[in-house]
Amino acid sequence: MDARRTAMLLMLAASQAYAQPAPTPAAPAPSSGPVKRIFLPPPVQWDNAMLNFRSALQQTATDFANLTGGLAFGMSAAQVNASLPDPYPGLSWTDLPLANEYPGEVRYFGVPLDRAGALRMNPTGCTGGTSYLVLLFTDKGLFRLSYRLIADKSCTDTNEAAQSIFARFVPITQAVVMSARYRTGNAQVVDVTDPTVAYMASVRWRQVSN
Amino acid sequence: MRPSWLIAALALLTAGLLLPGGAAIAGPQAFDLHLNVPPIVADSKAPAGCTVTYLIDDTANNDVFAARMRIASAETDSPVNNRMPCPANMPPRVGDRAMDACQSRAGDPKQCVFADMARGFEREPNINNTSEIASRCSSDKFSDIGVACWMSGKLSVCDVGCGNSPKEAVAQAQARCQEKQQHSCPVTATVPIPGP
Repeated sequence: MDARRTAMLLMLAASQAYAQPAPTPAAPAPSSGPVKRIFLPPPVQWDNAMLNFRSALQQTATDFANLTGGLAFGMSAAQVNASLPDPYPGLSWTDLPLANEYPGEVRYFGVPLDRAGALRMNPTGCTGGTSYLVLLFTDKGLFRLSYRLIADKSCTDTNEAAQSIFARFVPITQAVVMSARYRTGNAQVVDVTDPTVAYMASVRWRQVSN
Repeated sequence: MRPSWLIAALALLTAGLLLPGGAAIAGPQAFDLHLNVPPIVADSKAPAGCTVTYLIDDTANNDVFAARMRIASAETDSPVNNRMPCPANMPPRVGDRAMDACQSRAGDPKQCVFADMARGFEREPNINNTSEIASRCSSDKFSDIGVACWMSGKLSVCDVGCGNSPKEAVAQAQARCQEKQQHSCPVTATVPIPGP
């Protein structure tokens, strides 16, 4: 394991108590001023009386897999690690640090964003040199991707990149993927969660300043 | 026997030998022909169904969501200008559902508000200072929905407009924003009401 990876694991382990944490951009407005991004969740279909609704699109885990290069919730840590372009050698479940903010046994590992392969999502805007992706697991497998975009001297604002990543997941129905975006400390966070984990989906990462 | 008769006889004999073995070709190559699935035929000239799009704002990070609500037509409805009519009134539960598009994706659901904001919103940034009705546009009357905002520190203060082009929707939003907020509203965005 090279020094950078070791440093990443150490950094994540040190912060374990708080390890929790597209699509289509809006058309450019015909205005000379700055243009906001508008996020497009999947449309909702109502009946004529507007009493009942359902998602207007039929989406499945395949839509998520297509976005993530074949990743699926429920994959083991070893399977996810093996799917990365530069997997950690000898990664095992018992060696992974605990994410104590979650109830029950949740473990995780992180990868620098620039080594996340297809999971990097190729965001627009800068991401900062220390931004990373945390992959969180229960004993049933992967249940959350948590993008943590950290501002630094080379990238003083990671908001655009976080929006860009978030925009890729928003068009997928929350019944397939629960996506959330928020800020904590100097980090922009995008959480992408398996909706079947129920109450754990609402857990948010809180960055602690050292 | 003439050679042509000989060739014909040989051909008949060969066919007789081959047909029993080749009879399988006469059956279906695959049994799962999906004959029960009708073909999908899209009528490109069908009138557009009703979509009511709400703009919802997450005030924590100024994200704007376009929550598109498609309303099924009644059998008695007929199109006007090739657009199916939308209900004159929307029940609050539809607005609540639109709000859910933001609340389920926000760090704090309480930060989600309708994107058409009252004057002074920056001092009391909560949903009571927003308008549900003015935050939506219907596809029977308009094709695009726009938003225009000014920045009060890190908070985006916005209003919404409807139009029959992106340019018109933004112009309407900017006019509404500048009138209500008494500010120039240079930050804009627009999306088609039925979606891209």
